[in-house]
Amino acid sequence: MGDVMDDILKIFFEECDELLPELERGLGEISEEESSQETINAIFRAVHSIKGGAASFGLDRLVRFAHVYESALDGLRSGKVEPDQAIIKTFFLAMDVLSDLVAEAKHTGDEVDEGRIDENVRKLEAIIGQGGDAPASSEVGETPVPEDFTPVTVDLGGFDFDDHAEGFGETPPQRLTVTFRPHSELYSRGDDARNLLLGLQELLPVEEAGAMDVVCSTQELPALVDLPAEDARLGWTVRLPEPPGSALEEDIQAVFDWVGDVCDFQIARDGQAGEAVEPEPAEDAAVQEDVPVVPVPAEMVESVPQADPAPSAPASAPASAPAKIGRKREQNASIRVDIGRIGMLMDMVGEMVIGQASLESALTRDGALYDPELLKRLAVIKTLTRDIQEAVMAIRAQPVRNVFQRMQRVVREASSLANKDVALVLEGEETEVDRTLIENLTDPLTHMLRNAVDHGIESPQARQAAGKPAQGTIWLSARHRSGRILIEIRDDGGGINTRRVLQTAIKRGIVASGASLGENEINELIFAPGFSTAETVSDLSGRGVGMDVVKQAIQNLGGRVNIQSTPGKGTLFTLSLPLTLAVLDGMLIECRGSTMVVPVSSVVELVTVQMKKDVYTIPDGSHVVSVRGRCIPLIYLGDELTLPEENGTQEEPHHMGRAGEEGQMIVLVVENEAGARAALVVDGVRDQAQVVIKSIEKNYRQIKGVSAATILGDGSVSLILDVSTLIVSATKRVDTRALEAIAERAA
Amino acid sequence: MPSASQIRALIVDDQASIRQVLASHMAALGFKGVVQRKDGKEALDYLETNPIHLVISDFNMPGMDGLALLEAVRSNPKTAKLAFIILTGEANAGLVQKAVAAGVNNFLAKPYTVAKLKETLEKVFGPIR
Repeated sequence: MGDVMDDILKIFFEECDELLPELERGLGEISEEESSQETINAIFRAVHSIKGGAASFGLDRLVRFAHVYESALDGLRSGKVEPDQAIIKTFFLAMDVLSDLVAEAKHTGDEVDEGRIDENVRKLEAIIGQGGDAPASSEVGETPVPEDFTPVTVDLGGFDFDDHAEGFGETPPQRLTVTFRPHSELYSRGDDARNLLLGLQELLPVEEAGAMDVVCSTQELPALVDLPAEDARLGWTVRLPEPPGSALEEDIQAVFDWVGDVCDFQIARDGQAGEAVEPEPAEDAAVQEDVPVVPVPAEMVESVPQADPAPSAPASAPASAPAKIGRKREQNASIRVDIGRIGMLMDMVGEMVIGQASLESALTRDGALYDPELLKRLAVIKTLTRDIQEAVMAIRAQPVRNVFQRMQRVVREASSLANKDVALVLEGEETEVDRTLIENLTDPLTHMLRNAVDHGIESPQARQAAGKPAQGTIWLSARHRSGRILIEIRDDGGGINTRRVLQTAIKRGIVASGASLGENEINELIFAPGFSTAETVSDLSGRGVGMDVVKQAIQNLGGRVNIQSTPGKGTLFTLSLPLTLAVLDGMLIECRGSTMVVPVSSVVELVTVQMKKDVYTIPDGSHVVSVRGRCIPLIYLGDELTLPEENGTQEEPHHMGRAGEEGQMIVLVVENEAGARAALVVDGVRDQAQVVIKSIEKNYRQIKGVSAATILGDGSVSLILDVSTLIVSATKRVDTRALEAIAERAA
Repeated sequence: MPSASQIRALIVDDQASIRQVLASHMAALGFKGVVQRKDGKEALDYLETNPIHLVISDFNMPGMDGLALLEAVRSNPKTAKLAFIILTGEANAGLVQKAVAAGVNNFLAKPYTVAKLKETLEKVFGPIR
């Protein structure tokens, strides 16, 4: 029983995970005055359900609080309490307490402070008082039944238990007894008695799956020493109810159709309907020395505990289970799958991509037998692999809604601590992202939003003085853009105070005093380790983690952070993250004998430029190239990555000399999320391929300009370039004013 | 005197945890094959084709609530006579009055103990073995 209750408790916590966001959504709608009676009912029901469930498990602290909360909401529901902003705020805060109490019960959160509970209870009771009702009794679960209610006895005469179906106009369910004994051929053919049992069980509606009695007959089983390993000596007797109107007998026949020749089998119908309800074990001579019940695996018998209350078909019916013929069954909309299994699938798809690339490489290698027919078929497999990979990714994808909604609370708490009035507007909550990303986004987002409230949004007084509404707004949005997900955190606050940031950075020794930095570079300083401009370490952002940690977390996910700030208008943080952490489309390039991968998503174009005509040297000595009238910094990839010269003896005096004999160079124009471009000078472009991302940090360490590694089709290891870092380092070197001047000249 | 195993029971509640707790308590009392449905509409669909002696239903459910289910059960001659117990955690006198008027057999207040459940059932069916 204990285990059963533990399982149900898990279900209850899953329900809480669904009910709490529902509550939050509902309260949000009320505060935006979009609510209907249905919304209010849903809010009430959420709290009510949490209370009811908690009561069943003796979670007293949770019950007590939920009870008061529920009573307060009841005033709202009955219209006695008019929801003003103060009341809604109380409800929001109470929701936070409630969700902390749930976490406490789950042992995933700290114990909730008694004082905080009391304070919220007092506020809720004030609302209850407003509704004109007496304050909620602290007695929980008092019987709501009036004193004078007398339970109504049912007239047992109305239920003839011997023929209980009377009045239903249906035949009573009968029980069928199936006896079968597989021959050893059944097993040698690769079938299994288990599949037959499962097949029988599938004939029953899920909620009656437990009503099937299975008895295994072991009387023919010899002593262990005499047991021939390949003989079949077991038989089974199965009794199952036949729902009225169903053609159970035919269905059972169908189950055994497959094995009729390798199995003794018969179906018997119970004679009297009188025994119909009580399932007594069959007193069959064949099964007298029976082992008790049920060799069917437990997960097949009881419907798997799950939050989706719709009856589900067994999740993993073996493919070889006998087919059900002409039988309609209830389809469930979703199943729960262990995330580990999907992860495994994802890994295997990764290996498949590598394996297929290696096959392709073997087939197209110089000297290999060229067979167009073979290649054509390989192309089909390639398409399939890609489809499978996308399908697996879709399984792992989840909308960002849950993480985003959690941020409402973060902003609420942060603004109340900072004495600011801030609204968080969510956009694109439906955007789907890989689950791993979602899990790892919570902390960085929390921190960035706290920062936005703490440092971004000004105090109400300052806002009003600046002619803005006293309430600040933060927008949190998500959307897909060219194979990546962009998450934006925008506020309408004061923007980054570059002067102060620079002063602090100099004070902390992050930059040398007297350094002249551009605005963007100054903004970037807030990501520097050890940087914090807060004059007093506030409760909020000053928790020992700075923006450098945020940036690191985002980079670990293969993402990047970008800042744009307009003084007086606000700040925009853009997080750009890959959709998946597993596979990417890459362009294979050659550089000084190494093959490297550039993510296709960051490649703008591939052009051949003329050394003399298109490349300019700017005063600081670095080079830019003019592509379609736009000047772009050149990156000599080999130098940038300090790759050894291919031919060590050959001295190359300067970059310019690296251009081909004809004065031509191949450049790859690449772009980062902020729209900054650079031109990578490469020796050649080999191919375009799907590559599986393998972390090098896990195996080696982080390398500047390289984001990860991969294994190519020929089995060689190749580096995946971190285009954004390369661009940043190139643009840092180049004075943008010089670029503009050259662009003008070129035009 | 009915045996618990003879009584075919249907539990209606939108919360899976509540249903399962109740089902396991009923199993402890000897009930067999207790059926679960998550709202009034699903329960009515089930009652349409399956003979049931006892419905234990929650009050507050999305869609069709417990009171509406009770009224529908009583208004259908096929199901009018079955025993109907309302499971409630809510002290709402108005709803209780309506349920009494609609012909509820008994109430079971949440949280309850197995003993309380037995007592509630016995007030409806008489002693249960």
